[in-house]
Amino acid sequence: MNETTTEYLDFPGADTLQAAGRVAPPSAEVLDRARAAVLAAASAEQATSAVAPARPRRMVTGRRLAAVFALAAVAAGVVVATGGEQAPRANSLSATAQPPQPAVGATTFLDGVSEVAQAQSASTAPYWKVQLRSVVGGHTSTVTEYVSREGYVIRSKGRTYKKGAPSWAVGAKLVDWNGLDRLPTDPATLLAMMSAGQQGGRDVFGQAGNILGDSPASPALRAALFKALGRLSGVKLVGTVKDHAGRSGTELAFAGVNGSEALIVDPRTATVLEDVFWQAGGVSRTTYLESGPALSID
Amino acid sequence: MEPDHRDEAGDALLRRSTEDATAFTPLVEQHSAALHGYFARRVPHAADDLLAETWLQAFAARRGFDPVLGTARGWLFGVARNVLLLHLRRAGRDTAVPTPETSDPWQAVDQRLDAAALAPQLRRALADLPAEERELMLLVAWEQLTPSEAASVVGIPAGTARSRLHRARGRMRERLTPSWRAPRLTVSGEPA
Repeated sequence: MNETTTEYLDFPGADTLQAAGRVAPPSAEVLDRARAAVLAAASAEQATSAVAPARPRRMVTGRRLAAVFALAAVAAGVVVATGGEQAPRANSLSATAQPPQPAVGATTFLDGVSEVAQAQSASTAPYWKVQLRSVVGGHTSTVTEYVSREGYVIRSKGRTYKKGAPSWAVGAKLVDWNGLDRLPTDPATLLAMMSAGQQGGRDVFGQAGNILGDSPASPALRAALFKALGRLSGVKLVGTVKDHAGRSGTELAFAGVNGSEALIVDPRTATVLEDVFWQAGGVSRTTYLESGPALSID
Repeated sequence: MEPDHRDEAGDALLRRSTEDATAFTPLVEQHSAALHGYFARRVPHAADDLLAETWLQAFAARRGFDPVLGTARGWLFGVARNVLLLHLRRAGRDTAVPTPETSDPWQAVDQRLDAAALAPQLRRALADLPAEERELMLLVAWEQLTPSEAASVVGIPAGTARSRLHRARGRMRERLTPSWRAPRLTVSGEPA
């Protein structure tokens, strides 16, 4: 499938940003120099012949999942098979739509999930493994990520990528794994921090979804995040659904001015199963097939 | 990583250059302006030198190009990025204690945006993106790379790059849409 760049540049000011990137072309002298450098290298190679190597890597895994609490049927609702990529069931994508009125059950449900998370054991494993399947712009990819305090490794289609430390947005800040450990676990304080510095506004719901979906957040932090979500105006409890991996979970939805987002949460394990983000002109969906501590990288 | 928007002639030239070094030269003609622009936007004072260095590195490493994994253009920008990062690390070592900025040209880019009188709100929105999302966004916006090409430049899977670009676009929209208002919070825990 061909890709366009324009779909990712559909935001106010994108034209200005592109215009700010205009630069003068290189001079003829600069081009001559580049050409001469290559010709010289080619001549030198005829005499010697050199080849550049590539770099290989491997990995292994471990996995933990805790389920200690069975929620009451707070989230009981219509079972919806999410077979296709449709507009959010609970929200309007209209740019003028107001956030929906909060459902009464969302806070209670999320408080229950918070208790599940709180009861889980903290891990001392050096890695956090996440296997996810993402669908963006019609492209589907499945990757496995191993997060560590120093960086992270991504495995996809038999290839391995090694990157610097990942970060998650918390309000106006970006935090790494060590930063996650330092975040407050009081829900109100955390919510204030996530909302702070957002003169234009970063989506608190999205921040929480990202951290809960693919970060090594401690059980205490996860518990605080679920509670904080329950105190965020506009969060709506949709009901029981199946994610794209066929797993049953409870959908929470949030509508913003520029898009809507839904999280499917497994209340038994306090894990995010799926995150769907609707924006005008595009939908992205991330299904978290696995998320938990790992002792090693394969 | 699925290649897209292929410049099949460019890919073929790069492949053929492994056997016939003269096939490499047309690539210099074809891609120099774009690669020079990449450097000029990030390290303007060193762009001329880094362009020549990129071509030398690319020529030496050309056997590492695999058209199954991406386009020649994406691969060349990947080489350019490595040259840029090495330059920044050297500059950081020479001038100060190395910091994250020595592997992220954001400060230089921000100065450029400042000079271009880019709206402060837009600059702040870019500054608040995670570094990797911002780099992908600029590769798409300025270098006009496809998400798959940008992914190969940064060294992540294409799907991961698309997810991050999608997320970055959402953040930019939220930050830059005038009608946006922060979600209201309640003290009691019950929604407002």
